[in-house]
Amino acid sequence: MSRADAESAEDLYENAPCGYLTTDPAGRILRVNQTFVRWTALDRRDFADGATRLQDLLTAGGRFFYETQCAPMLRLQGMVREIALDLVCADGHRLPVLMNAALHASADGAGGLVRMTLFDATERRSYERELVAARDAEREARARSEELQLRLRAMNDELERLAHIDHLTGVANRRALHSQLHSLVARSRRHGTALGVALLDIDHFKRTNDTYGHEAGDAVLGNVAARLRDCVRLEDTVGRWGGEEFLIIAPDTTENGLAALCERARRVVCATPVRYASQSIRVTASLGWSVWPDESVEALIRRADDALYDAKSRGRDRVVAAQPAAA
Amino acid sequence: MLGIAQRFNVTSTGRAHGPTMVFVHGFGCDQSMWRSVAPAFEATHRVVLFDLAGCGQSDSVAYCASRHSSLDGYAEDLLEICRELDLRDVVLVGHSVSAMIAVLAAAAEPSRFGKLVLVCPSPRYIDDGDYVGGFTAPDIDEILDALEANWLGWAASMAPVIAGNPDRPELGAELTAAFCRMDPEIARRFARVTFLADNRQDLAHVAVSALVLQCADDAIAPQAVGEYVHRHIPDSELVLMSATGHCPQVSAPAETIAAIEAFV
Repeated sequence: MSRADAESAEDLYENAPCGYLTTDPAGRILRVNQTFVRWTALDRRDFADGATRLQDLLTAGGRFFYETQCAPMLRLQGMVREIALDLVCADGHRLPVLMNAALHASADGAGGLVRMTLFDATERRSYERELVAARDAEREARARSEELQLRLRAMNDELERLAHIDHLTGVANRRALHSQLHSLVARSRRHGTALGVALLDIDHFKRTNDTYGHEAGDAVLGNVAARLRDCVRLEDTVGRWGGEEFLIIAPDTTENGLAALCERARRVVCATPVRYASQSIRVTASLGWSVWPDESVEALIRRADDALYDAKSRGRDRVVAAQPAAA
Repeated sequence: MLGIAQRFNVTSTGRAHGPTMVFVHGFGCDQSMWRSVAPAFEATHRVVLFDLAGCGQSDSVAYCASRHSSLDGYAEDLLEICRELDLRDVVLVGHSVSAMIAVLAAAAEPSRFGKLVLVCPSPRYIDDGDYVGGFTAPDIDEILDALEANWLGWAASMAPVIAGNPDRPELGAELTAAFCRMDPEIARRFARVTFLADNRQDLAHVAVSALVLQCADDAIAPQAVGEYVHRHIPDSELVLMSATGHCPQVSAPAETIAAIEAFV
């Protein structure tokens, strides 16, 4: 090596492109290189005789991390790697550094020296922050998207539900009843299970509306729907078939069972008057019922409807069974 | 269902039928923090060590964000371990935040514990009116930032470290699991729980005698805090150590052992 290239070990140490630090295990600084002095803009004399500890040059976060992680680790493992710390410089400016340190135990086992290298990590720290921010943003976006998906699904379910409910009375609407009927008929065809329907029509409903007003009429509809829903079994469906007409669908019912159900329904409707705005409105209903099998859903309903018509002509407030289906 | 021993990486050494000492490590570490102190009691005691949920080699199922959203959850874990091992008349040694975990456990099941040793305890880190905890709220934010900046780095260096132990060269190069390896999310949560805790009211409920070990020049648990703890635990003793810093069980094991020995 030529003279011009010759460089002393001291040169190498003092002017290395990293900070060199030697401390005792408690953090008291025993030696620093020039690069470190330049970075911190402190006076070399501040480092004489262990007057300054590394902890004194750190932020609260750095101090905490040093005392709870670095210091113990150095003693237990002999070294630490890539510790992110911020040096607080003389002018208050913070310099992010990455530190590696190794404990060199003394021969007698007491004390020892900690040798540290510090790299200026300004670029890396800001890059890391961006990465973390991007990762957090992505996580948040994903969470929000999942949340929106859930809400969308809930709204779709609700929409579906509303599309099948009669809004005045809260029972199934005609579309829902049709759908239910067709699927139960298909089941009956497949498995031979029983199925019955009953059409219930409120007697003299137009008269009720004229006498008590349309709001009262609505109250009657709602009240009757509720009574019907309460008196049928869990597996039965109650729905609004028309203006003042309700349909009860009763799967797995014998003829006797359906007849009894209809009589129960008739009685529950007229048992007590409907109260509305301090009015007491007497309500009765006529019912016609029919059982599967038949040619079709429409035929089944038509038979129940004919029976209902019968009930009306015979004086109302009664239950009439349908004629058997054409053979 | 994993056994308790596996869930919390419980190790039990010393006399199988001796009086029992349980050591609880503090934040961000694991039971190896007691490496220089616990063995000193093996001749006279049954020595039980474990890793807190989310720390060291405790199983990942042990940590539950909701259970461990307060120190009570950690205290419950400790009590579970004591129940499972049927420990009685325990000398419970807790460091840093685990000193409070010990206080909570002892208050919940006083019949199980004979004595408490609180190493660098703090019932509340954030200043509050006249109470000096040593930290302000902005300090805590800074600390959480510092932890973040380091724990994203840890994810890369979670591989086992082959470390020669300079203090015990006879151990040679050993494959040690990365010390203080913690899931960054758990570390963040645990730090928050630690720093937002306020267990000042719980000190009065300690029904056993307690030893408070206070280090000189401890930036995490300053002397005023150690004195506060001593004043508010009815039957307690305060020992001012010459060790500095926050981890005397590592930096000054002989002094720590002596102080505990004198007390138990």
